[in-house]
Amino acid sequence: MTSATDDIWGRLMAAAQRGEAAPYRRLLGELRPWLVRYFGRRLPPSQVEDAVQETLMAIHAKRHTYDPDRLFGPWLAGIARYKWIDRLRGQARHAADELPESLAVDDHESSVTSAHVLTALLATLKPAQAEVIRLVKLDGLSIEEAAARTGQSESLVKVNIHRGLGHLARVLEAQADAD
Amino acid sequence: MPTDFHRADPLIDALVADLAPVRPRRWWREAALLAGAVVVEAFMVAEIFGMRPTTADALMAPAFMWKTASLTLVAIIGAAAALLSLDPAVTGGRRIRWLWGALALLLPVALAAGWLIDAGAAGSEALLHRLDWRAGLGCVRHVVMTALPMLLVLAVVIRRGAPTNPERTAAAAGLAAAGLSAAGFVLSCPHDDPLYVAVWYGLAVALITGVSRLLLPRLIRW
Repeated sequence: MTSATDDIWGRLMAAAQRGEAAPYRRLLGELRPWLVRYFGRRLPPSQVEDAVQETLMAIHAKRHTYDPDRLFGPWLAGIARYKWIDRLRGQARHAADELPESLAVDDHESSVTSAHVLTALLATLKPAQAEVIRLVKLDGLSIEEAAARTGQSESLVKVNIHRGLGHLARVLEAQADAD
Repeated sequence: MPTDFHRADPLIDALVADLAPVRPRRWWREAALLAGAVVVEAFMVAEIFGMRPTTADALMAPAFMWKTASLTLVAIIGAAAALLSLDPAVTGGRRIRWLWGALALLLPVALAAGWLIDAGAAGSEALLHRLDWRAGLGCVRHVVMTALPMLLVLAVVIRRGAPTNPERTAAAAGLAAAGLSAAGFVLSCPHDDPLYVAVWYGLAVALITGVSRLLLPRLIRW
């Protein structure tokens, strides 16, 4: 993001805060692809669309917390990051949920960029945790398949997904924003 | 600006349709609201419990100044951290990291200062007598009771904000509420013994902060 983009989005949001619909529509229209890219790098493909919509709704609900005298980028990044961590946490709570059959990988170039930030983060986990998260959450294997592939029991697969994602969420929350 | 080149998006349509003017939040408005709540509560406490019988000398004593200054600092830093953490742009950055650091440092420093004052006071009475646990529990109950309304005011303010680290915001809010009510209670509590203050006020502040840290995140998630 360049500061010029920040400025434009900031001005659009300032207009939206005054209740002007046209700048707001343009802002949301431009934010959507940005968010698709943001979450595409950080979440399993099947979760990206949900995360984008949830974040757009959060931006709407919390638009009064944007300070029009400051840059828009950090504000947006703070909200997107919060929603990302929240989702990793939710994933940890639903460790056993498998990906739906149809991996909703649509037009955005997610086959190339798919979740690479998340993949890089997995390297910081214990190998047993990282492996099952990759298999179940990113590659779409079932719990049973992941268990057969790794030699971990099914319940251990679930525990490792739960602990690994929970750990990631905590680490991310603790560190200052590096994006 | 035409919207033709964006895919038709029902969510964006709905959000645009829901758009109403909002007033950008300002931390100083919230700080003023908080200050107002403190004043109201101080008057109510003074009305109900009365002021402690005191002299100018007692108010100038190191122990009394230590107690008042420490609790006021806890309240101010806690409230500042809680309010500043409501802006997603600020929480992500490094700007308020020093505030969390100050919060973490303050308690040990305050206790050490109290211990120094205590060492100079040459207290010869028995420890249990100094602790005076009956009065102490009364103080704890009083601080907790007056902190809860403050915490409620803070919770309302926080819910309107956008805390991106709800656990930290909740802990800071707990410290702020406990610090504010304890700092106010200084006016009616006749105990200045640093040991007494450290144990009972410390217990009350820890209780409120713990409760806030446990319960508030559920209320302020968004």
